[in-house]
Amino acid sequence: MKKKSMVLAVLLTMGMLAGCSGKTDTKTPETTDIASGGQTEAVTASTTAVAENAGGAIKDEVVAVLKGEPSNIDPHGNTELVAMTTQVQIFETLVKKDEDGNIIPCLAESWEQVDDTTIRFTLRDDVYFHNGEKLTADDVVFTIQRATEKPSSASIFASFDAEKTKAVDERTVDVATKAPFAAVYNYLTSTRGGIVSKKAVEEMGDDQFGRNPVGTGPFVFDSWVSGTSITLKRNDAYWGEKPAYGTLTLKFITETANRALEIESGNADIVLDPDTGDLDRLAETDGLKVVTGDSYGMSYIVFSMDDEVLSDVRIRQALSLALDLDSIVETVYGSYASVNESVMPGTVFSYKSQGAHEYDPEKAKALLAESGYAEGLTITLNLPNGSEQQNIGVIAQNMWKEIGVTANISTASTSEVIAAGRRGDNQATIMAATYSTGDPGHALADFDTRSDGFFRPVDKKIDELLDKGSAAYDTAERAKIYEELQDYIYHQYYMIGVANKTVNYVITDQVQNFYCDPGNIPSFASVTVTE
Amino acid sequence: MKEGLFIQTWRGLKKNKLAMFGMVMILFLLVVAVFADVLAPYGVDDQDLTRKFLAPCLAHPFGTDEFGRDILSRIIHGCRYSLMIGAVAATLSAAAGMLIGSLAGFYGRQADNILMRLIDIMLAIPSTLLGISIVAALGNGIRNVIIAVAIGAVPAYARIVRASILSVKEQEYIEAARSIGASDVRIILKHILPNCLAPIIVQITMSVAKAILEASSLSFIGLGVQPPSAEWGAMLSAGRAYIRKAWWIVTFPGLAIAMIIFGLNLFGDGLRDALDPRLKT
Repeated sequence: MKKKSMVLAVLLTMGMLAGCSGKTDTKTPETTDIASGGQTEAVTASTTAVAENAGGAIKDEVVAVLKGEPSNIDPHGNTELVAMTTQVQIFETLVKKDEDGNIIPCLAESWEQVDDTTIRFTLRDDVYFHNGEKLTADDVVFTIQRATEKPSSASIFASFDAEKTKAVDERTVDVATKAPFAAVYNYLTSTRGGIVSKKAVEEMGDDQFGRNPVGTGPFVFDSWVSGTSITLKRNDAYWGEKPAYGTLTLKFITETANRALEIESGNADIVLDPDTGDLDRLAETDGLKVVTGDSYGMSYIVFSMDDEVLSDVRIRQALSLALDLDSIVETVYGSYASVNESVMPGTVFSYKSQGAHEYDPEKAKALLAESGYAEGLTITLNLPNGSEQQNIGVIAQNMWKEIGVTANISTASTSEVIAAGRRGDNQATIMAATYSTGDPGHALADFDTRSDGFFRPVDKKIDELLDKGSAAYDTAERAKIYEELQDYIYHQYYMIGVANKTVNYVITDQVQNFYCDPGNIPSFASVTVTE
Repeated sequence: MKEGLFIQTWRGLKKNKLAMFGMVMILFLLVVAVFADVLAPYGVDDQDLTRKFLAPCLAHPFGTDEFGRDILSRIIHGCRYSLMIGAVAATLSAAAGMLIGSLAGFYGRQADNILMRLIDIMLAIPSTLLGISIVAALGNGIRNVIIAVAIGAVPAYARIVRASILSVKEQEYIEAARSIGASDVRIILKHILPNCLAPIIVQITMSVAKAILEASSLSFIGLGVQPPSAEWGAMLSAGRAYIRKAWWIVTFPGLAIAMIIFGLNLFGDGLRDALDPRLKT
């Protein structure tokens, strides 16, 4: 007994070494469930040349480490970032974004706007699925209909009109939207727009397709070792520039510290989602590089819009004024984020800075007193159990204490917090989200009263502006509408934007041509690793 | 009878240096818990974002954490949670376990069969897993952690009490009590339980340690006390991300857990030896 208990005590002490974490969640919040598709499939001639010039032989296997295991690899079957990272290697979209965010051809070689709600795409003639079938307009129609039906993708594809989307001939397809929809291309570039093989899905059924995906991309699915890794092989019949190496292995390691160890010990070439607290140390480690870039990710504090107490704008403003966002961002993210000065990520189209965040505890106290809470106020802060949200929450709790607001923290899994929000059980919560379309309509969609959002939206004025923005095809006009909308939401204090996050990857010195995808869904097709 | 047991045990304990050492450790932690507000140099949630990740130094003997909070102060405050969870959970489970064990042992037959099979079912589920399930069902928070940990410890008590009662209830003095018309309740409370006390006391000491460890485990995986309360398991969990650059954030809470468990186990072992009739000379 003595020995056993002693061993247990020591084990717990060392628990953090072994890395037995129940907290690392592999699922991203549902608001992040959109992701840009096939961004860097085509390797240009010049980049290949660079790789050759770098000298040395090229490794035939590239190992990347993801933060978790996908539940499936079906473009319409999940809302997980790790699944999207896997899908991007296997599936392609009609159009894609280049590194500057411009829409460029991919599976569609050209397109034209037929009317306000219809776009006619002409498909490439030389694209074959991994099962040997030729890509036809039927596959595209099938994919879009499927995307509007499957629960995991339906909300993102809600603007598409599945009925009117139809094949014109074998290589031509009309994609229809229910209303004029200016951001349609952004949505088509998301992983939800990944074109699936109609024949493969119908033969296999959804479940099996999710475990044996068939796409058109640069990599072919090879094998899946549950709990360990997924292996992909080069698609030798690929229509574009083929990857320089034969095997891509995606390992799953949920514990952040262990992910870093994997690349430090030489067992991996690329690590996704490293801990920001660890990055400075890793950047100084010999043989490793930290790749950092702006991202579509942000963190924010949001107040339930139909909450009785918090429906008073003065209280929301007081809560905002009490926060020293500079210190929060510096403490939680170090140098890997900047203070968000709006209500959507700084990289999203039409982002408008509202100026430096106002930090004024005295004014906050005065506002609280004015609204009848001079003696203080108690609110509940529901936090998802990610370390980032928790850290922001614990600091905010402490800062709110200064103005007499007691915030009782209650933690749960991300999906549970979102579900509680939908039921109206959240007062305030902190979220981290990535809006990979880079579209303001998507980033602000949670404020739409017609959505089943966990913000419990009630403000019809926001709906109006969202609709106007969505229907505006003129870029300048669109930007103006969304700027007005940001002004409005910001000054209503429905949301306090906390940080514009950077996206961070750790790679070895041997890795070349790695593209730092702002949506945190990088394609590895163009990567080369020298020996 | 009770005094005799107490004095006898104390004599046995005094001879056992390790047990005394364990007892001193526990007393020390009790004092720390009671006087936490006086002893802690800083408040439990006094953040100073400009002084984060300070290595142990004079101002902060155990260093500071990711929010610039003093780790020593947090460990001192965390002592309260650990001891409280341990004590309350052990008391609750002892009470429930003794009730079930006595009923099963005293009445035998059907009652015994039904109760002990239920206990067997509970025993079949690993206690940590049971704890996680219960907290998941009831929700986070310290009260639910205590309930979860207490439920997990009930079977051990029930079995020990039942076994002791089976051996005691055939004794002549029980029959004597029955013959003068004593009620069942009186027989159990006055005559049987006092004679089963030794194994129960040992079990309580041990189960306090187990409860503390289990509560810390639950907090480690984020199911226990909520921020900003300082609980050792939760401190370990929050600090593990920084272990490579700030070892002190996890090391000291870990040592604190090890210390309290070690102390309780040494003391519990000593008590068992002192109470064991075979070792009495």
